[in-house]
Amino acid sequence: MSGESKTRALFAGIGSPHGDDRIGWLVADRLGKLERLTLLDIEVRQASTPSHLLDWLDGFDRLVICDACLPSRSQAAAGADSPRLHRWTWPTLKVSSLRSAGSHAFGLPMVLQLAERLGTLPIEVIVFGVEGERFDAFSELSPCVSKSFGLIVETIAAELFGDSSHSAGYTNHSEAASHA
Amino acid sequence: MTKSRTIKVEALTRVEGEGGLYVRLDGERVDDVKLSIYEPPRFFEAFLRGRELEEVPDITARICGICPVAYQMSAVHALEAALGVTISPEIHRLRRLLYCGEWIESHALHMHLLHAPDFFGVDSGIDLAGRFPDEVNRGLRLKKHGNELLEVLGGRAIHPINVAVGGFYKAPKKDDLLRLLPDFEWGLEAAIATTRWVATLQFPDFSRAYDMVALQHPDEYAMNEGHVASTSGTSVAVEDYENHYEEFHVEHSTALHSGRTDGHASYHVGPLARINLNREQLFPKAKILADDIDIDWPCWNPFQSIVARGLELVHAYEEAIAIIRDYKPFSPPRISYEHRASSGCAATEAPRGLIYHRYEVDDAGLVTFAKIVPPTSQNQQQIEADLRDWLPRVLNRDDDHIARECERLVRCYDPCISCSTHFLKLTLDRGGQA
Repeated sequence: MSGESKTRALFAGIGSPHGDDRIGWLVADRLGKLERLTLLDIEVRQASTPSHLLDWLDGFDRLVICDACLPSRSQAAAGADSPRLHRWTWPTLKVSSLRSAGSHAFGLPMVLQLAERLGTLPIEVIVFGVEGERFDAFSELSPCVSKSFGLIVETIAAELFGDSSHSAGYTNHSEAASHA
Repeated sequence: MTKSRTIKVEALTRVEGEGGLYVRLDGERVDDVKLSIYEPPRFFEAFLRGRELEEVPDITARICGICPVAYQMSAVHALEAALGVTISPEIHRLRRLLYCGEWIESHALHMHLLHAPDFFGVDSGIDLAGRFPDEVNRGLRLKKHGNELLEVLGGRAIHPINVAVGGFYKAPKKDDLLRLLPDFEWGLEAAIATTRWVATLQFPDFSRAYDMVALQHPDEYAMNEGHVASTSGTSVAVEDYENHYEEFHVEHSTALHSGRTDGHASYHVGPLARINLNREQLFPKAKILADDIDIDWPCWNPFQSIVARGLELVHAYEEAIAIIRDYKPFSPPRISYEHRASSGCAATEAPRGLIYHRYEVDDAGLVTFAKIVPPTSQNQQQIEADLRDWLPRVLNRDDDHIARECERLVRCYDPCISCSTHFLKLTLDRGGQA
């Protein structure tokens, strides 16, 4: 065994070309342009269905995912300035609240559960959910998500780089993991 | 006084897309069955108008994350028919190879994770993985092979971007394809083992007098070209499709249903139809396997569609291996053409069944009309008819059991309802019964 342990991480942006559902792809695209990712051996992928993750999990210790999710009722009612980014640590039941757009009945929670059952899930799995409000075919990002895009990328990059000094702009649901 | 009841399936699981199921029963009589579906392709048709025809393959690929190739293939062949383009034999083979990738990916996913759980009394592929980890892992490896082939040929696994009107933007490198061979040779044997496994499942005795419809071609197991044939003996040119099959609106669904123009009779599309019509043209190992397993062909039991998918999985591996071995890079990868005002149509075989496209374009190369008839639209009416006959066999059970049995039957069709959401709602109406 090598005395030097290197953690390999995979970032997967799940999305579609439909409105705020494209956020996963856009984040992946932006992250993929960062040189630091290569230095840290972080691979970036875009997926249109969560089931694609099952093809890519071999050899990774960390998995960070970004997907769109539906807003909670209270946050939808509160309007555009509500917090829009969630962070879950797997396993957590709360991940099931993620929007299943494009998943074809094989949603992200199922994919993660299946990978866990088959022993292929990386040790650490972090899921970022971006609340969307527009999912019309081929529509652009909603103004609200668009406005938050830079912050979303920064937050996820900080997670990937292990930058604990970054001021988190998300709602952390990791507590839920303890009883999931 | 008879008791009536209503059963609603709020969310059909393990189907592709979003829809709902409503069943109303009056005692032992099935009063009403409605499969409600919201289907994006109707919207896309309007969306395509005014777009450059070269954009159509990439736009239609976005209709579905599972079967983008089906949309691309149907689109390019229809547009080439409009433009008078004849593709080269090399392009023809490469397109079949691309379709093999999609069949492998889609069939492997459906068989192992969506359909097989029904035969073991478990709720999901996750539960199945607990009991059959080797089989599920095998299925996931097969699915991965399909995606890898799409990645090499299509530029990427998700929504391939290399398909062009007239051919491909770029022909793949021989070495990139050859690298896939060891996995595909393993995959062929694994697909045979998978098919033998599913052929031994316990199938309900539910044979039906279907009118099964699929493309048929004199020289090959039809994928991209051929006549629209049926087990009732009809065979019509694709250009004549709309004279024999038509879409119509039903009140309970935003998606159009399809039927024969003569009385809107239902028909069945999909792998079972293809195997029944074209079994003799399967590649050798798939053909031998079809003859060897304990199923009498033609097969009229929708629950055995999982075996038909298995045979096509074997065929797709065999044909893919043959094409890869013989492949020589070619030029030009794309046949040139001139824009002209015209119209054209095509039908191809999506994993779930026959898909039909028709386009009208103007002399500037802009789309002025688009019509897309996906397989699930064509199967909807047949699914409802099946449910009417299936329900009396399970009516003496509780509502939850009835709902599960209905879903089980629906899943035989591997319906691809929507690419953007995935909920199916079932309502079981027993009238005023408490």
